[in-house]
Amino acid sequence: MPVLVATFAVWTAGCPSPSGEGASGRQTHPLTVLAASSLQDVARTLQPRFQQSHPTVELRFAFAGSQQLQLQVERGAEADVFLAADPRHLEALAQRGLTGEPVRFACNEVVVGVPRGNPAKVQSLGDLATVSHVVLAAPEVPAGALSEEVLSAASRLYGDDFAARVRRNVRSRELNVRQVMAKLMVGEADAALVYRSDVKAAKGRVEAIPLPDAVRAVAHYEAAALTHSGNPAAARAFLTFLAGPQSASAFHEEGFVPCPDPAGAR
Amino acid sequence: MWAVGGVLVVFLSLPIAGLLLSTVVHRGWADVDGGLLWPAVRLTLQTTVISLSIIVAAGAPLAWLVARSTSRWSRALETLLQLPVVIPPAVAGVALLIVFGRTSLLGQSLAALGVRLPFSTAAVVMAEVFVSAPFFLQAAISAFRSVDEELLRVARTLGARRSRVFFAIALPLCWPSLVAGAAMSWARAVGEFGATLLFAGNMSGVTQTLPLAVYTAMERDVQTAQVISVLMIALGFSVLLAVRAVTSRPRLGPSPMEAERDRHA
Repeated sequence: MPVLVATFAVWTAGCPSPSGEGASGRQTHPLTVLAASSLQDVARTLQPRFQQSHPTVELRFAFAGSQQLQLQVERGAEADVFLAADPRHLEALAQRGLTGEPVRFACNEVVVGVPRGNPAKVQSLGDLATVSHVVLAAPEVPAGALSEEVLSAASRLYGDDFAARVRRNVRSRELNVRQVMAKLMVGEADAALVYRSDVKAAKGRVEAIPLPDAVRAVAHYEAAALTHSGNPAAARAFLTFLAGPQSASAFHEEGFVPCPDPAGAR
Repeated sequence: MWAVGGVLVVFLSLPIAGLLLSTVVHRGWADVDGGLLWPAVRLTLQTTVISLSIIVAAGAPLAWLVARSTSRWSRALETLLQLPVVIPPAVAGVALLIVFGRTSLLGQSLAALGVRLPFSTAAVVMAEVFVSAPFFLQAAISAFRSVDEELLRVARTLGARRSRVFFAIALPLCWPSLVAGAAMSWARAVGEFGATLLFAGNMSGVTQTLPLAVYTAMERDVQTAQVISVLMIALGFSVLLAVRAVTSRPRLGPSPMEAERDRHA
């Protein structure tokens, strides 16, 4: 039970990861990275890899829903880099001159998540119209917006009323994708739409069922430096690192997928 | 002394004043999504009234028994009843899930009877009762404890049964404190967020109470969230004012004991 409590605390509150240790005696400068909550687990791998090649930079992550982070940046949050799960957030900030050129660094595939053991015997996306407890992310959240796209696109396969039938089974619209995962892990949801990387991070407590090829949905993660960053050189270095091979292998290990378009600035 | 206290007053009132001012200046109410606001208002009022009724109906007799008992068990019980206050609401939500969730023993038995608690409006009531009951219970226990022992003894020698003593003496004497405690309890229930989100979920019209609506609105735009917040402040403030007005009415004459003493003075 304490494990469950700790899991909830970490997964829903979005706490900052422990700051990296600076090289002994050497002056380190902090680099604050605001990151979408679905990046929590891959950040654990990215951090030491970046610190190794940049020992004077102390990477600090703060995780929350991308829309919350956008709000914080608009209100002048002290940070250097923003990693968003949806390009729209960076677009909105760039329009107001708050962020620089965006860099696409990862993509995440939407899958049907089911609790371990698949108690409702879900076989595919189509079963969402018949199971009793479906949980989705709220439409305001990137994962939720993608879920809406998936449901609309699925009407091609399952009929015009598919989306409506699924919505009748939706019991909750969670405010970030980790909360959706939590509902799966405690068995309160029969099925949910989550990211493949989230399922990977759940280490067996949640199983993934891929979407049919016709409705494949992918989240595009983009990063940008904040214009008022106190450490622009380090921010640029981190963006370069994100677009590089070390970062790509870390994302691959955590269940992210190669982006459909070539990675790089739009 | 006023300077020190004044700092606290300013600190407590500035954010609220700022919120009100900001909403008025930006005319936020013009763009509020009624589809988000009104179901949340209805649901919050419905659930908090039900929660409060449960807490008062079950809590008043319980508080009476605890207050008048002198055994060690009642002391322990009193402490136990205060526990929900120190438990973080999210943790309370987890706890409720563990006990009443689909995968629990109790949850499965209930499911067999057709009762599914998580994601239901009943779950909202349960979360509210859990976190807000201690506020009423504590006020009631203190109030009942302060009732003059003499009065109760006199009543019993005159032949009154325990329940008659409770209804005819304790309640009339203690009702201002009980109402104030109930108001605190209601305010806590209205503001309940963490336990509701985890145990009951977030579904408009079913489980999305005002605090959940504020949080959801924050994901879209801060203005809507601000307007809903201002509404909640106005609601809470009016209730507190009403309670203060009702409970500070002057007592009608001296108490029976005071009258007795005056007669012999």
